[in-house]
This record gives sequence, structure tokens and C-alpha cells, in this order.
Amino acid sequence: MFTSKDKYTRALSDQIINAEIQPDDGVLASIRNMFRTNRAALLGLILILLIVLMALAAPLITRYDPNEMDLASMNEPPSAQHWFGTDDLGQDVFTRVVYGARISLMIGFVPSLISLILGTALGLMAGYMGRRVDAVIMRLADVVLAFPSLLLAMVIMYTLGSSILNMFIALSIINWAGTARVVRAQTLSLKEKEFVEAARSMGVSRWRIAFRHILPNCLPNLIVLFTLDIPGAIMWESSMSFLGVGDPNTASWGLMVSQGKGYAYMCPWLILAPGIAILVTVMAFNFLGDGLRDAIDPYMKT
Amino acid sequence: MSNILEIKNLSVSFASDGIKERAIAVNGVDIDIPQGRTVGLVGESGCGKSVTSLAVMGLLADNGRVEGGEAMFGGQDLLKLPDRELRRIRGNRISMIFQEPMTSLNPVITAGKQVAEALRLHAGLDAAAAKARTIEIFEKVGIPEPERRFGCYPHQLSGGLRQRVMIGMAMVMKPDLLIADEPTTALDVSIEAQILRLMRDLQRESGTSILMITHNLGVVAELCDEVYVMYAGEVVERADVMTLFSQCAHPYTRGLMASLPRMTPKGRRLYNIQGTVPNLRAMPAGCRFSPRCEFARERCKTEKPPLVDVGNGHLCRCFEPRTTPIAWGGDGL
Amino acid sequence: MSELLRAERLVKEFPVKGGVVHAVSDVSFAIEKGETLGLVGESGCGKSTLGKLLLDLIPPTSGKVFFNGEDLSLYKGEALRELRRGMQMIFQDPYASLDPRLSVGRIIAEPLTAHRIGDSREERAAIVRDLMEQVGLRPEFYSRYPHQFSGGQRQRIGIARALALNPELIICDEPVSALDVSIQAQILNLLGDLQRQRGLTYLFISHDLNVVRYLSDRVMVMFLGQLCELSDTPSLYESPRHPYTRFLLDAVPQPDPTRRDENRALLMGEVSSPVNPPSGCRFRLRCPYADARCAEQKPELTELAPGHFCACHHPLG
Repeated sequence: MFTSKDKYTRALSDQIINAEIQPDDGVLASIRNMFRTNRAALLGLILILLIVLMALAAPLITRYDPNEMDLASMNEPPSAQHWFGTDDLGQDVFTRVVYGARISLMIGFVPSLISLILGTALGLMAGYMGRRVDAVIMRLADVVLAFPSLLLAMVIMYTLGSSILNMFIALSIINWAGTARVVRAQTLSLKEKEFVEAARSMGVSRWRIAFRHILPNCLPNLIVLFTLDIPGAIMWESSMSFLGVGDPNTASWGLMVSQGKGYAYMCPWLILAPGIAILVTVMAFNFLGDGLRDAIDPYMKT
Repeated sequence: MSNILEIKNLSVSFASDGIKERAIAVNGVDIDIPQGRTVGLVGESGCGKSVTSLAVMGLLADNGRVEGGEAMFGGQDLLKLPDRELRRIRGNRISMIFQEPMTSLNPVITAGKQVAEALRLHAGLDAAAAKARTIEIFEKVGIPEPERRFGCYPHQLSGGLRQRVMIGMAMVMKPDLLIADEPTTALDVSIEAQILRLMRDLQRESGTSILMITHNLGVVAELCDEVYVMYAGEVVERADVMTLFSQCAHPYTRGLMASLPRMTPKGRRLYNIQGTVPNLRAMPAGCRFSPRCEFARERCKTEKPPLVDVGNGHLCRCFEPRTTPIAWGGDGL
Repeated sequence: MSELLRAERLVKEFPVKGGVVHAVSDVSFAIEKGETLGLVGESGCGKSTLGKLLLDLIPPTSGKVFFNGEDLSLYKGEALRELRRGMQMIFQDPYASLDPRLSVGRIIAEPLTAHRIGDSREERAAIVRDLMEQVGLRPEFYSRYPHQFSGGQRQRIGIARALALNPELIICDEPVSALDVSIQAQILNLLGDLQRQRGLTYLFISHDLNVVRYLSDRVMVMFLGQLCELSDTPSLYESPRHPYTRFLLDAVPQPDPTRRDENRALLMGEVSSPVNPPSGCRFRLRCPYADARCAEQKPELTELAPGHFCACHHPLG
């Protein structure tokens, strides 16, 4: 290459002038600022942290076992001993809500993560690997999106059997297509960007462009998408459990509502406690996701 | 000669997210626009030239605020007028055209209908009369096949034709003042030349005053009678166009002129103004140009120079205005 | 002087709804080592497309590009990449041409990594710092991100990136059109300095005739995908032979009010569309000298004076 001796005669004088640059105000600062001004998003974040903490520290929060039956105290209303009352098997509802957070969070996270990875990979391939691959993947996505999601998930659960693993599979299948669409659209627009063209003009390989330029630029949106997929998955699972296609052995909040529905009149706490837990969790994620979107969107435009 | 618009001591500030202090984008600007003349307002991006015009028209974005000053137009202060009355003046006695006509035209209404609408609103014409008058206007601003273009949507017209539509719309009411904000910047040179000529011809005919906001010194030389040069939110120089291009006095204006590749032979370096425009929130204490000025003294860094008359109404904001003619194509000032 | 790049009968056509865009039609020219060849024309004339064809960023419909005597179309894969190392590009938009998610150091290092230059990360970083100094950026800004820089500074980053592979030819696609006048002069000076220090060859694409005049040894003018005129700079600007060049030169608003001429002839009509262009000479619909021959027969580029080529049936005197 060149030696450092033959360089700048005059560029040096220009160098002094370029001393000042703008202070850093990247996407992180924008998110930090968002939390300062957007109270709902901050509340969402705090609630999510509390729910995660509750799930992790469940044995420390309650002294009951979630599956321990006490036939002597069935369908008891809330009291000092049983804060949210007991159910028809004498199980402590508060304990079951606390432990249910583990299940419901897992149901929120795992399929969202799977569909995120799957959708991103397929979307990137569709947008980047030419027309034929694009056609195959997007027609597949259209099929998934054309089906009523709940019906499709229920069909899958019926076919595969009711287990939590199959629930993950069903939710991943109904969710990937949306992610794939978003990633494909963004890949197509990023592909036309001048900086991608610049990389091509320098002889950067296709794979490198996909992973170094396109994927990282999709990332902020993927984070938002992921945050909003989680409450979606929790809702789907609750609906399916309520309709009786969930895994009857995992005490998710949805299943609790379903099991309590027969006693809704006499023992409303049986559905109110898990119902409110679902509501709070879903709202918390939605608040956070909306806030993140507001913070990231303008940054993505500039 | 009387002035159609007199801007006095105008200051405008902007708020931005998460920062308490407002940034001053325009600081004590005085501009007079004489009847029937074309006044140029030049400066680089961020100097406050567009903000000045938007403030006068009451069109500042939500985070912008007029901090003080007045804009006297026909005995009224535009800055103090209620919104309703200001709206009546806009598009009627004062019109504006912008760089990208696409953004000021409604994409789902045909170009003809939009102009006709303005006529019905401001001139009270009925639908048929408005259409006939619109086609007349289209013809006047040089739109070929005006009847056919009447029914075209904005996106079906080229950039040059869209700008003609905008000019037609702006001139409908024979306004006293036309504010043109970089009207030819997005256009090709051959179209730019057509639009500049159209503006000049219309002005000759109607006697409208024009405030031409531009960064292009070529456009200024082509069209303007008087020129104001802005830098970092302030007017640094004002002169008639001949004086400005032969012996401008402010080091910034001279620097701009000298950095143009005019007749400079290849191999000779262009003059370049050191550094970049200062941040609105960190303005230099004395003369705002002093950190980039090759003639700056100690005094310039602490004391703010006033805008003084250096002869025949030629104003310059500098303690030591240059007096020699500009040496074009050289590399010094 | 010897030839560095040659384009032979380059053609690029894109199908669109309602016709074919004739972006570049039968364009041949050569760039000599060490010169700056200016390329001017209005929007849609195909000048940017031509730049991309030369770099093989888009494949030509027909025609060939020779670089250092080698026919690019005969090369593939690794060998083509190796050959193309000698040609780099500087882009128009200093905002869109830098990946916002990569640090400046990584942006400039990208061509080095792509071509496996430098044995270690440290060695590449040293090369990058050196490049940053050469283009007038402080090496301390190595790990900053593009959005922290002004337009002029970003353009310097783009220039450093183009220099990283030590190319012989740089295609500058409107590198100063997005910049303010004072910053534009800084970048033009930098490009001039680099050319003198490194013996670079430039193809300088621009719509700004004053800038092209300042920087170029020779200039070519394009109209709707075809070359109209190609000549050394002084003779093109002082005695243009093609009517289109004449009109273009007259249309540029000059920063000199004493030269204001209110009655000069203007080129009327709209910028024509490259979709289904007219037969024969494509300029004929806007040309006051056009006659029947211009519609029937496409004028070829002919040498009217030594080194002065013009494609017109009725060249100006």
C-alpha cells in the first residue's frame, strides 16, 4: 500500500476545520429519552421486570405448592390465608397465578423467538435471493396469513396433540409469516440503498452484505416486532386454553380462566385473578413495544 | 420608493426534544422589500433564511416560536395578526412557492382543480369561470396544452410543469409579494432558466415584489436587485446586486464568492472557508463568523459587530469591512 | 498518455410499463490515465447509469468495458473482483451511502476486509487511520458513527473508503451536489490534492457545469442516453459544436450580474423521457436546427477538430 510519508500536504489544513462533530445521539439515547418522556412505556418496562421477577422468585413469594390440593378448603373466597381465594380443588389461586407467570412468559417468549428467527431468515432469503425463492416463501406466507390464525393453530394442536411443545410449534407457525413480510419489505428497500451499492462496488460479497448491512439495519424493527409478538402469543395461548385445546397439564393463566369459567358466578376470583394477570402482562408488553416503536421509527428514517 | 414588507428585529427560536434551552435560529433580522423589486436572501443551509420567511407567514412548525420583532405589511404587523386574518393575506396578497412543488400540491386532486379552488376561494368566481380563468393562467405560465393539463394529477406533471402550476397558483391574485423558497433548486438547468425567466416576466407585468430565498449565487445574480446575506441566523451583509458581486465587504460573503469554481483554472485550489457553521446552541460570543474568519482579531471574538453602512446603503456586519474589489478565480480574499 | 478504461458500444435498456427505458444507447469513449473526464447532462440522461455500467454494478444489455486493456466480460468471480479493485466509486448522497449502523472505522475498513488486505485487525486499523488523515478526518473519530458527522465530513469518509484499495480510477457520481458552497470547495480541493498526490484518474459525473469545467481535462455531454459531444474542456466551453451543449452552457445562471442577458435563447420544452425516445437524433424535438434528416438518421460522433467530437448533423460553426 502507500506509505504514510507521501500523504497530506494540503489535506492537513482541511483537517483542523473538521475538528467538531456532533455529540452522540444514537438509537440508544433515543430509547433512553423515550423512557424519560413516555410514562406508559416506562410503566410497561417496570411491570415486565416485576412479572419476570415474580416468575423467577415464585417459591419465595408464596408458601403454597401450586398443585397442592386441599379438599377441606374448596372455592373459598379471598382471605388473609388465601389472598385470591382457592379453586374447586382447594388449590391456592394466588400461588397458581404466581407460578402461572412462568408458563405464560415462556409461552410468550419461546414461540415469539422461534418465529422471529424463522421469519427473519425466510424474509431475508425472500428479499435477497432472487425472484423464485421470493415467490415460494411469500406464497407460503400468504397461505398462513390467509387462514384465520386461531383456527390454524387449533387445527395444528388437534393434529399434533395437546402439549406445551406443540403449543410452541402452533404459535410459531401462525406468527412467522408476519415477521417474514416485514423483514422482506425492509430487505427489498435496504437492498436499493446507496450504501449497499457502495459495498457492492468495493467487491464485498453477497453474504457479507446480507449479514453486515441488511440484517443490522432490520434489527431495531425486529426488536419492536418481538416485543409486540410476545403479548400476541400470550393471548393466543389463553384463547386456545379457554377453548380447550391447550395443554391441560400446564397451569397457564389461560387454562386457569378456562377451568374457572364454570364457577364464574359464584367464585368470580377464579377467573378475575388470572384474567387480570393476562391483561396486565399483555398491556405492559404493548406499552413497551409502542414506546420502542416511537423511539426507533424516526431514527430509522434519518 | 416605499417598502412592501419591512421585517424589523425578527427573532425566532426552536425547541427540541429533551433539551430545555430553545435554540435561536434567527436573531434580530431586518429586511426591507421595496415595491416591485426582487430581493435575494442568500446563505447556506441552516442560516435561517427559510425560517425567516416562514415566521413572517405564520407558518412555523409547532416547535418554532417568534421571540420578537415585527413584520410590517400594508400598515399591519403580520406577526401580531390573528390566524384568521393572516390566512386571508396568505395566498391572496402574499404568496409562497417552495422547492418541491409536489409537497405543496394535493396528490389526489388534479392540478387544474387546485388552482380553480384558489380562485373560487379568493376571487369568488363560480366553477365555470374559475376553470376558464385557470386555463388562461396555465397558458400564461407556459404550460403546453393547458386544457389537457387541467385534468392532470400532480404526479403526471414533470417537476418543471409542477413549479409552473405553483407559480400560476401563486400569481392568481396578483399578490403584492411573492416569497420563493429555492424554487429552482430541484430542477434541471434548462428548466431552471425557463422558470427564472417566467418569474421575471410575470413580475414585470404585475409589479409584484419577490423575496427570492436561495443558496445559489448564480440565481441571485440572474434575478435579484438587492441581496441580503445571512450567516448563522443573522444578516451579515446587504447590498445591491452589482455592488455585492463586485465588492462585497464581509469576509463570509467574499469567502462564498471565492469558493465558487467560476473561471478558476484546473490545478489551482479553490478558496475555502475553514470549518463549519456553528451549532445554534453554541454560538461564538462576539462575531458569529469569527472562528472561521481569516481576518479575525481579539475584538471580534468578544464584541459583536453592528450592521453598519459602508456607503450607499451597503450594509456590512464587520469591524473591518473589506474595500477592495473581489479577485475572481484567485485563492485569497 | 495511455488508456486506462474504454467503453465500447455500451447499451443499457430496462423494460418498464409501456415501453423500454433507453438509459444508455451505444456509448463509446476512453479515459486516459491520470486525466479527469467530466460527464455532464440533465436528469434522466443516463450519466449515473453509465457510471454503474463501467463498474459492473449493473450488467450492460450489450457492449464491453475494458479496464487496463482487459475485457471485464471475460472475467468472473474472484478474478473479476481482483480486476475491479482498481476502480472505485464516490457517491452523491453522503447520507445514504454510509451504513448508519457501522462505525466510521469499519466503513472505511470494509473494502480491506473484503479483499483480505492487512494481516490483522490492528494492521487494518492502522491503514484506516492513515486514510482518515489523508482525507482530513481526525483518526480519533475512528469509532464514531456516520450520523455524528456533517455532510462534508461524511463525503470525506466516502472518499477514504474509495481510496482504501488504492484504485487507479475513481468514478465520482455527483460528489458535491448535496453540499453547501463552502463545503463543496473543500471537497473539490481534496479531490484535486488526492489526484496530484496519487496520480488518480477520475470520471467526474455532475450536472453542475461550473464544477465540471474547473475539475476536468476533457468533458463529455450526454442527452437521453447518447453522447452529443466530447472534447477538451476549454474548447467545449468556449466553442461548443452541439446545439444542446450551447443551450446548456447558456442556461447556467452565472454568478455575475453584469452578464445578465434577458434576451438570450432558452432551450424550450421539458426534459424528455428516456422511455421510447424519438428516432434519429434524440435531441431533435427540442432542437431549433432539426430537419428531416435528423429524424431519419442518427448522427454519429465525429471528430470536427482535433480532439473535439460531436454527434450532430448541423454542428455549430
